[in-house]
Amino acid sequence: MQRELPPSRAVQPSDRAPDDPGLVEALRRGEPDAFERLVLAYQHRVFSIALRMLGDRGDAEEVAQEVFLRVHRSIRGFRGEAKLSTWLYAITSRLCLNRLKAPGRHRRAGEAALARIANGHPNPGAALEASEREAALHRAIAELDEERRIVVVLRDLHGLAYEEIAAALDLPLNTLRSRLHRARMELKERLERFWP
Amino acid sequence: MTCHDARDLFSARVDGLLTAEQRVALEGHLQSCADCAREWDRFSRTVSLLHSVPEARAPAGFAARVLEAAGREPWPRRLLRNVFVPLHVKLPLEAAAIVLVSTLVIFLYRQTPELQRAAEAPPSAGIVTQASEAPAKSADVEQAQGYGKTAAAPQAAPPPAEERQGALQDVKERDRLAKKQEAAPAEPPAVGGRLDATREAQKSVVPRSELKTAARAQGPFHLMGLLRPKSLATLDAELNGLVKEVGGVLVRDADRVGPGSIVEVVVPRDAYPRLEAGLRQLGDFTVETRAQTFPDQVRIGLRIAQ
Repeated sequence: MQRELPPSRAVQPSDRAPDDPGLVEALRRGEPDAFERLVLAYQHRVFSIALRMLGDRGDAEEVAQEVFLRVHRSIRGFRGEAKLSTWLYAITSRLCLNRLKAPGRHRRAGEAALARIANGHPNPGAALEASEREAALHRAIAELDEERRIVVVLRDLHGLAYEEIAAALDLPLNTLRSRLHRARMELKERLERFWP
Repeated sequence: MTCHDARDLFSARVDGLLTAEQRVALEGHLQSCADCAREWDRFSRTVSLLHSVPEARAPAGFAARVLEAAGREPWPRRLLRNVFVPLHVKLPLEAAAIVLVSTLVIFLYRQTPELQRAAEAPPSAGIVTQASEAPAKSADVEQAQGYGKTAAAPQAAPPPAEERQGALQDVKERDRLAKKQEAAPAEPPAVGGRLDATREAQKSVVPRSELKTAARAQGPFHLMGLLRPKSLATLDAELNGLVKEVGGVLVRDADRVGPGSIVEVVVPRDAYPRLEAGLRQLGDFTVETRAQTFPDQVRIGLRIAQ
């Protein structure tokens, strides 16, 4: 019996943060509440991507804050060729990958593993209650190569469209597809013991 | 289709990106290949599990911290931004506010004679200064006169002491009058300029001290009138006599009253009707401006015409 999947998260608009065109104009004009609207609209999405990539809440918060500050500093230079959200995800992805490549990163591996197991939950007790399968999933994501991890995080954990991911990561669409496919296959193999 | 080809299409199938041809070929293969069917099942379960992971939420206060960090710019730039940005909104508002405040200040200045007098008149502090200097002067005199005359020294001081007493009395008197004027209802607006108060009336009847003080107070005229006398030659004496008769004080701005001169008359309120009647006998008298109510001491400005 073949298993049928529900429609991909990428095609569910309600699952996405709003990309208000008026917001970009308001940000460019320097309207005081525009930046606040931007932060409120995207804070969870940006933080979540950073957390899934870095596995540490402190690191994720630092990166997420830096993302918004960069937007704040350079919004006037934003030409609007890409969507505001794509621009945000591009900055987030780049900052996460840079941080993962930074020297001394390995010293926090133990702390990061805990965070991965905890599924981003600040309470370690809640992590212990989480299913072994979920913990294994997060461990498997964390063990993916960074280039593969970012596409899985953006596509399967946050439901971005292929085109948006390709734009954010500056990747050809075919490269993105094959990279995502290899990442999914790797995760399937790491989780094989949980499936019948 | 080989097993390798079939498994390469798993992601496209999950994402609904297969062509019709690919879909038919893949489904046919999965029907016939148990290994690939099992791999597909595991693959689809893995992707479903990924999709089920909830989005993590930013920690409490994250947005506030970001906004605070974004607001940390040098204070001069922040101040300028707060004052002028957006320029097209704030600049006209600020210009309008400046014009409004300036207009209000000018209006209040024009409507409030006290403010005008405060700006023009010398401060009364001179009197206070004189008073405060008196003891020092007295001490100097004592020192100059008192060597070897210890008994006579206290008696040598009276003139300065009187001066001091007089100055203090003057201050008290002015304060008392000011309080009276404040207490008077609906103080009239200024209806004329001020005259030099150094020239006092020659002689007048009671209450002389209060009337003199009122004349020196340089407050607004409570009535401004125009007098065309029947006889200019006798006007000075007649006017002097009239004011004296009604118990007022006459202050003149010239040695003799004549055409173009302005005289100030201060009379008790009760005596004003008699003064007005007397003025009408002296010539053609016209009231130009008049306060609604008169205080105890009425200050009258009288313009003399040909």
